Amino acid sequence: MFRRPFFGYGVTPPWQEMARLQREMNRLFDAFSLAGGRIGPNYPAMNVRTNDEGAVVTAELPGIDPEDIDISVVGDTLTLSGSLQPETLKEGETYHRRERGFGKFRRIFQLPFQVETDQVEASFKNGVLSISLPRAEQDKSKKIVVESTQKKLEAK
Amino acid sequence: MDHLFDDFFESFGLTPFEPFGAFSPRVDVSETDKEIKVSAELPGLDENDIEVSLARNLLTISGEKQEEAEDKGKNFYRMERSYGSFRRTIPLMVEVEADKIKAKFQKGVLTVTLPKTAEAQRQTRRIPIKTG
Repeated sequence: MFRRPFFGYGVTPPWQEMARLQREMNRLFDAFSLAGGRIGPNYPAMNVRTNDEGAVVTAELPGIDPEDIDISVVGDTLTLSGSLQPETLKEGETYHRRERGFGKFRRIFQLPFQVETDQVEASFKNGVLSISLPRAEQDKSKKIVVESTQKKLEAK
Repeated sequence: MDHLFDDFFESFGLTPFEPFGAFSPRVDVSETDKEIKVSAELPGLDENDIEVSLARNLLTISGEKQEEAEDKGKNFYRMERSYGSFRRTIPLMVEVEADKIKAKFQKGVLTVTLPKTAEAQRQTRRIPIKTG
């Protein structure tokens, strides 16, 4: 039942014990999130990548109808919301196992720059939503030329 | 603690503790009188990346989930999606018609329909409970 003896070979440092407890808790929550039913607060899983031009956000929304996704961008903030419908069962159909989630979701994400809101584009393929968010002109990085004082001095 | 939780989840037929960060699709299994239906969430995969096989009464869904090509060459700001090869084996409780299995992939969800054999359909009988 217990992984180590209760009064074993000396005392485990408390920080180690805390780290272990945290791991156990994370694993427990992972297990719950696998148990299906209502989707969690971190749904959907998102990747955000940025470069000089802007950002690309991808979100995993398998099985969703693209019409049920709502994307809004204000300033530097992206809000992704929608609802994932549970699959309807046929007459006499019963579940043996249910891990997939359903329900409403809402995720708010702040980007490190202002977005050119009228140029935001979104596409949905194989259950992955991809949103491209271009950087607003005023937030684009500009190269600053360092003038050499040496040359100026030589010219004189 | 570990054993306690393992036992708890195994009692529901779940395998709760996947290695951290590895991709493992979520699966629903449902049954009617005539068929078994398995649906698996495989977002970002292409139908060519997925393999479905049946051996005895075990249905196996496997493949590899890879990052999108357009994602490369940019800096990560946040990464929550997981990738890698995966394999899920689902035991079927009844005999199915192996040559009549249908699989389709739509919006990132794989749906496999497995019709029960006539024998299996005959064997599934509701047992009436007598009241005394």
